[in-house]
Amino acid sequence: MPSPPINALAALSIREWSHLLLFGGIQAPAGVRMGEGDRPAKSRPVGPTRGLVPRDTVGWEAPSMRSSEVTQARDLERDQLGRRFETEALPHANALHAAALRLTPGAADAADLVQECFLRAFAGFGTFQSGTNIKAWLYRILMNTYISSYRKAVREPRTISADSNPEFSLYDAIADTGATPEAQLLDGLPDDEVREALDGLPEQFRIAVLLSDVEGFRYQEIADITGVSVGTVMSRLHRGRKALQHALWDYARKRGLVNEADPWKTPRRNAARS
Amino acid sequence: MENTETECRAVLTRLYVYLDGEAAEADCAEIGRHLDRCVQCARRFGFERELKELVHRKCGGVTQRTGISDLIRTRLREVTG
Repeated sequence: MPSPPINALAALSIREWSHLLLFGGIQAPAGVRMGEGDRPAKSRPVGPTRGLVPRDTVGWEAPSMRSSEVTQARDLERDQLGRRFETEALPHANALHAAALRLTPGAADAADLVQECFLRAFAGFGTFQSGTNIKAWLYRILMNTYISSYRKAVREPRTISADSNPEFSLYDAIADTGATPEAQLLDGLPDDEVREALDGLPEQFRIAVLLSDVEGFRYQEIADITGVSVGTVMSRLHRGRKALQHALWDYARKRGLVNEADPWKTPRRNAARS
Repeated sequence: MENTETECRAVLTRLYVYLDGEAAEADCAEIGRHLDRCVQCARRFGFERELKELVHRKCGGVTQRTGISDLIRTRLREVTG
């Protein structure tokens, strides 16, 4: 099923980036017109065409590059790049899609976000060095794409209890009901409720927990992806985990996985707290 | 005689950094030693570690087949020919 078309202006920009990548920034002289009938209907652009000229096969080149040798070299380069991209970048698509679902509320938006992310990644792939941290590189592009194109007004947390107590401890809350705290207890929560709990967190906490606990990035990588200091990452992660634990506590109580006991009334068994 | 309550408190403030594998080597060794001999802290650490793993399992998407790779390939073909 085709996804809804992304913003046409963004589509044009990505096409331009791809051409800058594939043809080394060479553009047709002004005044060269594009053949309207050659472009497939779906990708007909809105706005200036920049004078790119269609080839006989699907694709575009500037007229100054019509020599077959140059064309063949470009084709080979593009195929190699495409194959490298397929091997190195595309395997991360599913993980990035799952991450996108934690960023944007709608499934269609998330699918769009990932596609745009990969288009931008492909456009910049020529400068990406094989063997360096491609996962972090892709997530950085995902974050930037999200912030520039998809983020509406900062979402309010959906659960009232999020961040109400930055020192909430799920371990202590369970222990105070008299039960032995075991994380397996939360296996009783369906996956989509745990995801809901994560989705309900304030954005900065949610992103920190997502990148650390779901995606396995290190503090410095998270700092690079989100553009903040390691100290800020640690703070957001700490508070994010606490807020998530509080949300999970509410879900667990609703499902009867823990006894109803007021953690604030029951005396603590030891003074040390996480 | 060591003040274990103070020791526990000191370990617990660094528990997440330790859990995330981001603790400096000296801290790592010190925290590890404490967890070896303090049952309460060890239980708490075990809980936090399993909870982190649970969140990873339930919110991650690596095993889900969403068809997104095919969508991406189609978009790339449209753009580059």
